[in-house]
Amino acid sequence: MMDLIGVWVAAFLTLAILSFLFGDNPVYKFVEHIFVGASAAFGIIVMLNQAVWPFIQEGITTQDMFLKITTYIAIFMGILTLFRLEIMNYIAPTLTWISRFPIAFVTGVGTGIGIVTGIHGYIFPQVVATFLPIMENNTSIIEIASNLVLIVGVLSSLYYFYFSMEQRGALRWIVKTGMIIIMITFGSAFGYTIMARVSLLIGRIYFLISDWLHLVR
Amino acid sequence: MQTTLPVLLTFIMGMFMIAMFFMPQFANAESLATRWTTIIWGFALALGVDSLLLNHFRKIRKGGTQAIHSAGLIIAFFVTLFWGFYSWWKIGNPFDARSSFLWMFQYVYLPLDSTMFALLAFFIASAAYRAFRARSFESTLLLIAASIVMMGRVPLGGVVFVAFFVAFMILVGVYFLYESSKYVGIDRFIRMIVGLAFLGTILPLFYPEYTKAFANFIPGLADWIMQVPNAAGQRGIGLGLSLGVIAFSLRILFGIERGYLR
Amino acid sequence: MKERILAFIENLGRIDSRIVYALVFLATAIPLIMNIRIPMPVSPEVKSAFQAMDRLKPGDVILISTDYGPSSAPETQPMLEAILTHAFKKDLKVLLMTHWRFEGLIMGIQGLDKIAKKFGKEYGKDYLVLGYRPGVTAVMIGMSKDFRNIFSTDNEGKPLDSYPMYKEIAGDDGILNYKDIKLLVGLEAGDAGNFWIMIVNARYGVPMIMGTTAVITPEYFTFYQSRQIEGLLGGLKGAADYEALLGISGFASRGMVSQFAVHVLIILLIFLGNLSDIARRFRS
Repeated sequence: MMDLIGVWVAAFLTLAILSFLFGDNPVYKFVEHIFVGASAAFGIIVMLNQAVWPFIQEGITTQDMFLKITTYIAIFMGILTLFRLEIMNYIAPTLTWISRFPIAFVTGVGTGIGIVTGIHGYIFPQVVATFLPIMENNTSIIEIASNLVLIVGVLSSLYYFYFSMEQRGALRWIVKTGMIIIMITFGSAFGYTIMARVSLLIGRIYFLISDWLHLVR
Repeated sequence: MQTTLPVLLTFIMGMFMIAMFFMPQFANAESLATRWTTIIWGFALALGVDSLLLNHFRKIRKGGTQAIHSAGLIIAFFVTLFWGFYSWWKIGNPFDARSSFLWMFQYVYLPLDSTMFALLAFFIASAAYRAFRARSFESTLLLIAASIVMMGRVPLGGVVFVAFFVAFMILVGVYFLYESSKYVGIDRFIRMIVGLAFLGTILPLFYPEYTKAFANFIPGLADWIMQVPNAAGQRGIGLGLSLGVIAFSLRILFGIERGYLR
Repeated sequence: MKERILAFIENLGRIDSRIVYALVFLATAIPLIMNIRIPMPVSPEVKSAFQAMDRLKPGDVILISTDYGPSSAPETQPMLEAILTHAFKKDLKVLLMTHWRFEGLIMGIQGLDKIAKKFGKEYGKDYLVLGYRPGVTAVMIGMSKDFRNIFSTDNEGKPLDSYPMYKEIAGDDGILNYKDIKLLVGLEAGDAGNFWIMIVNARYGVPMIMGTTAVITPEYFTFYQSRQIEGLLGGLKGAADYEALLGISGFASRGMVSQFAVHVLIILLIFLGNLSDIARRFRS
């Protein structure tokens, strides 16, 4: 019974959103606002239930004194972020700077990880994979061509984004090659984007005709 | 003091995490720092919600039709929140299969979220029809790559592509020959060659066996485009991007960039 | 006469958007109702993902990360179901987690429950749901020594080591970490997948395959080319290919015909738009 009501509610909401195709209308607008409200609350519940509470619960009940103390510090830092709340502008506007500490902490950890990760996890392996042997003992002609396209493509498209130098003479040809590669890249990205959006529509229409209208099994 | 100490903290934590990368035996210290991050993230979630709600409370006070929408938003927020806490308290986990909160997810949240994005299929189709024009060499190239990928990734794509291909190649070939008359020298020569190349591609299709091979060729060509030129271009973009990110991160660590502390 | 033909062609570029919307709707709905399936060539990157799964032996552990929400579920959910079908067919042990969007956990559990029921698999014995933790890089590094650093409990709130499966999969040292994971399956709708590759593959050497929404798939071909991932399922087509390799026919294979119809429609529309553009320039 609850499922039946649910399917009808879901179908109504789906159609309400789709009604936007015929222009902005009050039904769409109302449903959109409900969506924003519900998803914000949903996010809070999940964050508390899945992340904050398990860590805090474990950190407070543990026998490990070190973990216990550090958890209290982390919670304290978390509370400090609340000084950034908009409400604080009315209560204690001069204390907003306190919230900079937890933010500085998170940013420091994030950028620290980011630097080593970017170099070690992306740049090194990607550069290594670019300088591949063009020809080995039994490489087919297509593979040789592909390897060449890949090497030339990476270098020229990287150069294409290098704006600090005037691009004249032979350099112009590198830039042109880079542009061709970039255009093919954008073209395939565009094709895949269309593919993605259509797939999502298929999912929604499948819901309407199968779960709701039972036109198909 | 109000800025220097946070910048110092950022620097210390950044250097600490970089140092930890080279000392994997201290992974516990590393995971402790990351644990703190998670807890702080949890509290930080309240920040966005706070300004969202305040913003809509203000709109309600202003009145008008917008007030009804804003009231809907706030009611939806609190209903969902209490529903979640109730299920949590009642069953112990709001995401348990027996929880009615999950019903809300399944039949309210899920259709709204996915239909919002499905809507884009209509708009992307309409926008492509209205704005996607092969007016320059670049946009023609983009269009051809997109079409090959789109047709190469669906069943029957090759068959349909043959028909499109013939029509399109003639059109583009003639167009390039026509355009070449406007240029001189190497530019004219390139355009003429490109135009003739486009026209030449349809010649083999007068033989049925070639047509058949060509129909199977399209999915293969799509694979090749994705794996070679696309991978090369994406890598070029990615390398440029990550070098930029690293430079920016260093600026943050050394306190040159302080926008995040605003 | 010539003028009238040109005017007609030019008008082909002025079809009302609502007619375009209706055509897109019909092109999607009619093939779905007719329920046809047409086979197509399998992409090599999906084949190598399938082979990476197929190489695993019964009892091997895979970690599935469902980093997507309802908005991309039509693409990624069929991948999850196909990969789970494959995993349970081969008697693999499955761990499920997410660290990008919380909705991914629910979508993951729904897929897991559905397929596990089909194969008669038991929670805690054959599969475990670790849960959701935000923080992306923080979570990944935190898990490196011991999964319990991040997931002290499973999704039901019980300690991980209280399950019979834990001792089985934790290996000789009794600690569950990346060393025990034979293959990581990332089902991604955003940037989180990059970090799986850039941290967990680069630092801890966990082999992985990725299933991505079509929007971000082009980016992942660089990782496939550099062999940082062993295979790649891109969008609905990737899911349909995996279903074809498994010999099952699910939502993805069914949706591909609609996909075909809409793609043809869109290319036709772009073609008409360009034709009309050329006609307009001829006239003026």
